Amino acid sequence: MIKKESNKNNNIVSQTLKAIKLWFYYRKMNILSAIEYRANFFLILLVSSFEQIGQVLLLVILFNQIDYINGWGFGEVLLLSASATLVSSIVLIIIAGLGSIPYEIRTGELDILLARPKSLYLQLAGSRLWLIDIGTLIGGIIKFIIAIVYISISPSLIDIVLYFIALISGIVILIALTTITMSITFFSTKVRNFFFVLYRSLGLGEYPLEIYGSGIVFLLTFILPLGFISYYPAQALLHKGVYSQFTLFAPIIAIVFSLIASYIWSKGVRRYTSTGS
Amino acid sequence: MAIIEIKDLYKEYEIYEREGGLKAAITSLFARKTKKVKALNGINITVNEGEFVGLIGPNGAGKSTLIKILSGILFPTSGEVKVNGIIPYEQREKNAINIGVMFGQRSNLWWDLPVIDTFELLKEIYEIPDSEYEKNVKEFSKLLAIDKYLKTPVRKLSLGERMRCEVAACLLHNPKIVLLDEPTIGLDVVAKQRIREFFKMINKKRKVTIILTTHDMGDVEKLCKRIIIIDKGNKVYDGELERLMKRFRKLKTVTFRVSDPNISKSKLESLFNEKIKNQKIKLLSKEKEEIKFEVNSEKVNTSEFVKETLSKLPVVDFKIDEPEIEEVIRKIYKKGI
Amino acid sequence: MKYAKLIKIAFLSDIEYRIYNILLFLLTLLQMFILVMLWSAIFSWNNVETIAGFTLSEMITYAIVAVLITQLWENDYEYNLEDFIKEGELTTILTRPIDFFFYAFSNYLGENLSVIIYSFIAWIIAIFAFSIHVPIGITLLLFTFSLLISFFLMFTISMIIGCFAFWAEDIHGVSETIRILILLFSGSFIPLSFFPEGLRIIANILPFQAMYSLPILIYLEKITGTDIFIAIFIQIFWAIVLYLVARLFLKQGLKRFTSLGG
Repeated sequence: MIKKESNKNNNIVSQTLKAIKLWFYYRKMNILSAIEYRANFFLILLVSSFEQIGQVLLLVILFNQIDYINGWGFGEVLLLSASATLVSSIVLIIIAGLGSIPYEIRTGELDILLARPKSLYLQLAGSRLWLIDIGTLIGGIIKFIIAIVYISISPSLIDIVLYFIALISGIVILIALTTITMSITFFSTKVRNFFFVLYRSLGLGEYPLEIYGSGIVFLLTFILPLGFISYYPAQALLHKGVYSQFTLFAPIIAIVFSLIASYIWSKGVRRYTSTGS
Repeated sequence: MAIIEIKDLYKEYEIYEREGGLKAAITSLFARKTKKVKALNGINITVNEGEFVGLIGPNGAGKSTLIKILSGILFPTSGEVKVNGIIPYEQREKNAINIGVMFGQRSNLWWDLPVIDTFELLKEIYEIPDSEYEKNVKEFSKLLAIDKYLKTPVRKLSLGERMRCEVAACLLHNPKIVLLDEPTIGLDVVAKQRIREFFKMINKKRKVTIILTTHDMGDVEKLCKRIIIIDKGNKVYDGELERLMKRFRKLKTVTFRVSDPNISKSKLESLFNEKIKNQKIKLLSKEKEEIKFEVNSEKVNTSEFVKETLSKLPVVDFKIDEPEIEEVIRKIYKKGI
Repeated sequence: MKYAKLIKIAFLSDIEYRIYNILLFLLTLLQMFILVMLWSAIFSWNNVETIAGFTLSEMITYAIVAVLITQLWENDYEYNLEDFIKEGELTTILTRPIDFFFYAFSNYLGENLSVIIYSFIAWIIAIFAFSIHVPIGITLLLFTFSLLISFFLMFTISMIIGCFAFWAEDIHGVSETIRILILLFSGSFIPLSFFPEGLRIIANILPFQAMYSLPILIYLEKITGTDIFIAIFIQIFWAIVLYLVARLFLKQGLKRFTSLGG
């Protein structure tokens, strides 16, 4: 039965709301699925806290021997690490499903998704959720609190707002970068998971950008904006050094890269739908 | 009223070729050979609303390509396709609301969740109104006998049970057209029967147009009045199944068992000289005591021929075979029409 | 020999993923670059000659060799094993006259051959780009031997983790936990000499230092003379112990697997 199209149903706002509703619906399904598998939430929390503790421990051991990394002390580097964790775990919670694209192409499940009346991106993004990312997120928040307490800064309201804007921009940017990376799988005939390739290169943003020369900093700010995943959000609160002013570019870079990502994605889907599987 | 219109449809693929072995693998790192394959070679098809069409052809003939184009997930190289007035690959999401697809090997259902959960997800995705959804779930569960499985995780179902749920899933949103790509593959006889009856019912009662791709001639025989045969990207036959069968059914195989194993072929040929010359009959084989003839029942009366043979040869036993659909199709695959 | 064929097949199918392999290679160079930058910055900013007994040049060499060894470890082979078990390929393999442990090892070797190749290339690049230390003669030989044991050790650990798939629904938890322990206690990022006393002791009784710290210290010639043989002895000790543990797990796992009908 074909419903009568009403103009009201087709505008951008209602489409977006519907998409968000559907995304939440997927999340519900994922969690139900995890329960079905009797996923031990406590075990998962345990493992992810292990991971966070391990990372912090490494920093402690490092700073046991040294005082600063380019003027950044232990607390500040910890803040950097916390911001990275927050951004990457939130991104994974939103779009972990994109990582299953190679699998879906191989099994032909992608065709089933394409034959449905909803955006392919949304269906893919929603299709998976790793519970461990929720644990990681909690760990990130704890790391953040420890860092703030350790540095004992008292950020102004503006700083806090800026931090959130930078964080959200970082999330959008990482989503965009992940989308671009996964779009590559539509173009190559032999496909492996590039998801992890991306997430390993995040290491670039884990340390204060000052350790690199200005050329690289430029690269990481404007060309491959990994700096916005942890460095620049942290800078919103720390204001250290000459690069901190670039934090203000965060929303612009986020918008630019979302546009690039959506373009490449649609080209990728177009490629897939003209060559089949 | 035409609900599917396909005009001059062409689809070409480029595939990579490579031989095996270490040397070839390393060479391929630097340069790759490509080959162009014509999957669809100028197809013209019109389907009216409410028809039940069987789409058959050997593997690689282009059937799946055609189905993919109709579902909007594949772009053609050239040609015009309209499904319910919409160009499927240009308005994928709009087209998707009108169609239901079932790809035999792939699943529409979430593997680790109960069937009903996938149904509810589909309700969200297709924006099915509550009342319609409830009605369909109730009706389909009864007809396909899946009510007791609704709460079972899909991974715990047998293939037959799962397929019945897949069938229900693809019809929940009341599509006008249903595209089935080998829906009964791997199923046992009983399951096949149930699913066939279901499709027959919704085609008749709800006037759903169905395009069925299958290798199972039982499906074709029991469900489709009209069949389209595709071979190497070309449409080889488009018309009623009956007519096709009549054309091939005229050639019957008559097998005689004689008491004397030493009758020579040439003796047989001379005995039936006139009939063989006029292509009324053909000597297919002679193996010891078994002699096979192909008889063109349009040109000669089969029982007359049998009577004649009984008088000429020491016949112990005989049988008359009509080609099955399978054999007819096989012949067409091999030699064309 | 049939295992050689298995290695060849795994290698051939792996080369197909050329873009992926090239990306991994570039990523290796990237990781080396980051660490060089990091340690250079740390040394210069803190204005020190040595940290925990390492000069900058030694630290850079350490970091780079660690990155190269990490390449072999990062492919999470235990998930391949999980797939073998969960998706039924194991059943097919069991019907053949081959030993599963060595089948998996051949497969592992074949898949990692391209990693070994590009790691080697990266090593050469690092020698020229970052002037890292290069051991020669006997030391180089001993290092290579040490590296091979490390490689085998990594596999046995993957095998042990993978065997959990015989019993558990999901091996992510086990895998992540063990990998974190390895990250911490193997000396893969920070040399063990940085560690405070207490953690140092823990690291010494765990097998993980045999994967990174020992081979790298041999490479750097920070372990000399008879100490090298002690280090290699420790590595061999752990290799044997973990091999036996892996065999045990495998045996029990297969028993369960075949009794449940696959």
